[in-house]
Amino acid sequence: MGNVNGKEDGSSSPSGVEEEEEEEEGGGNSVHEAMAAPMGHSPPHSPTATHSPLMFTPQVPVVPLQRPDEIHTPNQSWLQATTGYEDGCTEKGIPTMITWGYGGKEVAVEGSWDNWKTRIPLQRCGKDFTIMTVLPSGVYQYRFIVDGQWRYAPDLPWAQDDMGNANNILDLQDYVPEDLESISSFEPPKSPESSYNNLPLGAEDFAKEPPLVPPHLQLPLLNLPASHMEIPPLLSRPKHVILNHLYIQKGKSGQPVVALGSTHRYLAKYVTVVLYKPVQR
Amino acid sequence: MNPARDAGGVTTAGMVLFTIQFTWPHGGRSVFLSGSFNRWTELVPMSQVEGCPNVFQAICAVPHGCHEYKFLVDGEWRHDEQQPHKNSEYGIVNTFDTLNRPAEVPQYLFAIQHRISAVTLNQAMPRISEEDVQASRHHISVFLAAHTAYELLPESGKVVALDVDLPVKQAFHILSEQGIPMAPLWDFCKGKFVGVITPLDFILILRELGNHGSNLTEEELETHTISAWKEIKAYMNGKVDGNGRPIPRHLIYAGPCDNLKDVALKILQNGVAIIPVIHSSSEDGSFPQLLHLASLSGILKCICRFFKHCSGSLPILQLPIYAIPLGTWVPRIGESSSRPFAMLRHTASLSSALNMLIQAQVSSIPIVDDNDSLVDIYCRSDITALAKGRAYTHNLNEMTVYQALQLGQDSNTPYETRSQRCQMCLRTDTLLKVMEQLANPGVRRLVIVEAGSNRVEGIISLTDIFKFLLG
Repeated sequence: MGNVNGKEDGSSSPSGVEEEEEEEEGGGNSVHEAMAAPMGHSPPHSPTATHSPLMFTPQVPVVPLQRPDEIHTPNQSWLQATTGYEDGCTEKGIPTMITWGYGGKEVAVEGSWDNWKTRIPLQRCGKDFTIMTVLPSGVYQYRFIVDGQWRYAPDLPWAQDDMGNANNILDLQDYVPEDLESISSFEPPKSPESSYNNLPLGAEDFAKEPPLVPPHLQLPLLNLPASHMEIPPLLSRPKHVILNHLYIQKGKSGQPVVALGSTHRYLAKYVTVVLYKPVQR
Repeated sequence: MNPARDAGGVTTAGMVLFTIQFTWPHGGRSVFLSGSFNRWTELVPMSQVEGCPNVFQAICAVPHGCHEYKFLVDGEWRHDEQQPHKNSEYGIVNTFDTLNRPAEVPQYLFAIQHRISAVTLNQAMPRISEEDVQASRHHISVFLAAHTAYELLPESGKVVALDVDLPVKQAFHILSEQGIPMAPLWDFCKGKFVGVITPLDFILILRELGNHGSNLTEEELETHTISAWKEIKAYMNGKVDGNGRPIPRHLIYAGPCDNLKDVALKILQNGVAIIPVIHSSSEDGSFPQLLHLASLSGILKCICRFFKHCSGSLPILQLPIYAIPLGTWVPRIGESSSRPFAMLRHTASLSSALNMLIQAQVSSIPIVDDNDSLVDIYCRSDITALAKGRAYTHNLNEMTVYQALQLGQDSNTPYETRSQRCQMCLRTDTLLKVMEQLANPGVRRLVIVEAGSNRVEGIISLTDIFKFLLG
């Protein structure tokens, strides 16, 4: 969900996600009670001023546990159900909430999504005015009409158009960008200078069975079937546990090629790189 | 009319045809065209040009040679006085010949701008003002300079790279299995990306294999590494230094913080389609991290996304494309400077298609059927379909383009194939609509067709759009 909030007190906290989750289940959090009445299904507060994380993280179906020697047999049926390529023509709408928190008696909003044709009146919830609308992904300009006057919310992204009017700008992505601050603690600590006192592996170690791969590492993005030429497959956001692991696939039936794959995070986006290398005989 | 008259060449499989647009500007109600290129047997109906009720046009594919033609206007045979004409046994006929165009190996020119002759269309053409064009270019330039290549990355993307010591044959199969047209090359010894392998490399290799005088046999193809092929290619292009060593081409790439305008200019100026986006955390470029393969289509998608809902700032978006100097159009009679437009029948051999791709320096060729309607399109990237069943070992002279296209389609689900492969548009479509179609991933060019008959009128590609938008 994308939320736009024109409130004056927009304090961001990543834990806001959990709070809203409880709210959805009808939890009796006293701070939010006043907001719940007029629009029962809408989330009252959005944690960040510019864009909010989803109310709940999307559930990715889990692959049934596989034996370690079956790691790289692609399990295509459920994969295609979740990551099928969608035809570019059908744009799915993203529920978006627009909020005005600067007072007034009657507030409406109009925007470039329908070429400024219609005005959507906002509904009052306590001090704020909000409305929920469904829009396809894109970049839109919009402004508020507060008691007959054109206004814009200065704490949200805004820009001046050619005629000198100031409009707010809404950049609606079809995914929710990663909040960098919440994952910065996942940076690995630096390696210690000393204290490496494990002995190297010997022959008896290699004679033993290797340990089983933990099941949560068996969700790689590497085995998704290749779709049409040049159209990149829509990959889901990888779980953080599979990042920075190196996967290896031996070439089929005697071909001296090995494939190495790994998923990394770069800023707020994820890249899976597959490298094909020849194997020296 | 003698139907057995020799038209100066019967069209056979593999024959290269020239597409010419015929115009009748003198009015009438129903106009037909007939000529020596269809042995005076067929009456080709001509369609009225929109907005000009006196002008009729038709597009025909003519073989090489000298031709005569005449118009049947409202039941009466007439010729066009303004075009070259001569006396013949059918009365006065118009003539034209393709002789000033070389026969065997047509020297095609990939024309970037091709204005529609204003003589016939001046009444209907919407005025495209220079101020509008400059204002739109300025807005787009500002937008592109304000956004970086990082925005092109999808939230979760996948990139495939190949080691430069892989055998070329393996590379071919890998690209075909992964469904990608090209891949960056990684050199393990140097610890960096050194180039890319593209469909053009495979086309050149296959042509070399077919060359009897070549020094590349099929066994060598099995063991030939990509790095060895790149050296051979440098020799072939004459890029050697004083000692006879090939000069390596430097990798063209972009960083994630480069702005989109620089990325687009880099792509256009180097004549490539896709460049890798590489990030290096250290100063000297060591430990490069491959992030994405950026193409003009991704940049166009950003532009469309941003400007779709504020078309007031880009007035040229609402203009129909025939009014804009954009794309390559089928040449018209009487235009002496125009060059032939590369098209093929689907019975043409695959090797002639590959030759045309290389010599014309185009990235795709529309394939038409016997009625000159668009059937499909053969692109450079379709070459990787030949890896299926090792079809590249067959004689390419005997495989038709149609069979080669079938190879690529067998593995895909049916509904994906036609709609994605052969994107068409009309000459009256607005620039915004064309841009949105081109912004879809996998679509690199649109074929402009005539409504109804699907006859090819021209091609617009991503490169055309960006060359126009960036000025």
